[in-house]
Amino acid sequence: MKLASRYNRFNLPVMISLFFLSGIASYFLIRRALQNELDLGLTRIQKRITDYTAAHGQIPSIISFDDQKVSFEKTGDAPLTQSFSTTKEFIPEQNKEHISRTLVFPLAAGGQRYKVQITMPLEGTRHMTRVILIITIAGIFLVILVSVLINRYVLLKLWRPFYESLRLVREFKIGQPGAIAFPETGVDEFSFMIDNLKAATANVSEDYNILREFTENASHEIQTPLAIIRSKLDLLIQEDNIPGKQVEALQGAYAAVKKLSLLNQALLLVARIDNRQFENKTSVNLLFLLEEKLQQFQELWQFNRIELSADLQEANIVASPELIDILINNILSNATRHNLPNGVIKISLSGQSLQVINSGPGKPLDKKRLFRRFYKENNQSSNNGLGLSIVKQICEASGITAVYQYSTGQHAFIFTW
Amino acid sequence: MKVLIIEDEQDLSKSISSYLSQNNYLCDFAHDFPRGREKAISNTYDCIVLDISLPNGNGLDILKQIKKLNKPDGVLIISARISLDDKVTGLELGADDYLTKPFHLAELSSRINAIVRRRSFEGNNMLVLDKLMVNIADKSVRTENGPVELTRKEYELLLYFISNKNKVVTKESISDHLWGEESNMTDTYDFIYAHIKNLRKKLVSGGCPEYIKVVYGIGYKFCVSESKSAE
Repeated sequence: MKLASRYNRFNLPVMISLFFLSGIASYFLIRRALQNELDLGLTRIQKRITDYTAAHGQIPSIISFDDQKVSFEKTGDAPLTQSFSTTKEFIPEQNKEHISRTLVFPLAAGGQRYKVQITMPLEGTRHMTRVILIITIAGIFLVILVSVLINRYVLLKLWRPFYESLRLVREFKIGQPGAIAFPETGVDEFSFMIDNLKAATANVSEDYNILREFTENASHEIQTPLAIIRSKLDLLIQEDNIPGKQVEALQGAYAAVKKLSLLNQALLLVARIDNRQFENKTSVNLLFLLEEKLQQFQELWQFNRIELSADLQEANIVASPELIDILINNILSNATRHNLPNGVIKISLSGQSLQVINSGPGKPLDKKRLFRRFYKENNQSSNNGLGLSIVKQICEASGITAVYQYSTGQHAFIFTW
Repeated sequence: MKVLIIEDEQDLSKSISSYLSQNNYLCDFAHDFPRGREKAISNTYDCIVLDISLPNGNGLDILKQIKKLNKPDGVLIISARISLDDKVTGLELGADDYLTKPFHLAELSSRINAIVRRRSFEGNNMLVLDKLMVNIADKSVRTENGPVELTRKEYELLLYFISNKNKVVTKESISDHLWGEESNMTDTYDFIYAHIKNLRKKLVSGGCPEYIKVVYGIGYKFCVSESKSAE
């Protein structure tokens, strides 16, 4: 639930009940005011009647002022006090019940006591109630409408820096060049948040830079000791008549050096891609490159009785030629290494896509882990599990989308750009 | 033939010289930049094996000076850096070749041989070894019985063996030489064996003795008697 919705959840009921209460209150207050006004009018008439009576010594003849009715009634000695009252009266002509306000007071004229009753209609209240009801309901609707509009537009606009910043952080890739360009905002809370996000991402980036520099340097440093080990082994095997046991030891040492060397080269390559050392992009003619590679692999495929079917059309990509070379090499090596005896490799290149399909084990690779470093389907010792992670990294650095698909023993890697 | 090894790792330069000296190379050493520069300038070598990252300086600066002085020495850069840019820079500065660590000594020897051949056999592209005559220019091979038709890979293989004659050469190094280490063709040993079998057959039917010996579990050795060697 959004903050604004949560706020409205409290705000709206309170506002609506306030409107109801104020509607009820204003109904009563206005009614009271009208009644007071009416009572004043009644008092004025009373005064005129008493004045007249005092001047003329007799009650006035019945005078009708508009809707008001005045009646005189002779009374005995019973004491009578002045009082106001609200009465309901049915008027047959209009077939309506009328509410009236009545003032009753005693009057003495010519030695005779009278009970005077003045009645005035209290028509206004009915209309008033209706009007107040309408105003209240309209007010409630207006409040709802306004808060919806505020949510929709004003709040959305207010919160934009917030959502924008979070989107940027979500899209933030460690190792991306330059800092995140956060939106400008005048809101204190948001700028506080942005400052903190900036600091956090900058820290992470810096740590990461240090780490990848370290990786590259470490990999370079490893190359020389490896060269020494290999050279010493190369000298060792020159001895005549090496006993079988030592041959085995030498084989193991050679294989390990080879594995370590390849692993190190792969790590170095990954570090160098991370460090953006392949930014010299040019247009690479893929048709030309692939034809060259196919020729290199041809012998090996023939030897392994792998059948190639290639459908190659003119295609170019703007990328680092070195990386694309490595990419193609890795894909073709993979398609060869994981193939079956008498298997097939199908390659199709056209415009903006390259598809390499190879026959292989009858179960799909794990799509989620496929492109991760050190992913291995089985613990094949000759394979360092970095090939596909390098493929992925090259794709990312070159704006290529890599997709893996499987259908009945056919493993397809599809590259589009 | 004289080779100068400018490499700060003494263990590595010792290995290199030990391997090369068995092939009639005379090795000289320098373990840092000033001595390397001094030796490279004051003497002439058939080939200089040059490491780029040296104490007190960059190997490429030595290369620049050699080229500035128009010295004829061949230069083979050996570097821990695998970057293509480094390689291109080195070659543009006039180095003859670039080899990335960790290399096989057999590969190094083959590269040095190629450099020396290019520089010393000007006008004479024939490499004669026992009963073999290899024309480096048109990549053809002859024996007393006439031409031997070799595939490209077989020819490369033969040349690699000749550069490392009477040395045990590992299967790994052959694989890396023929395919390039980066192509990571790990399952090619059977494939290499097939190539070697064909090469042996062709050489024997051309009247050559059995040059290529199998060294069990390790690799192969191209055995040829030194006396008739043309090198």
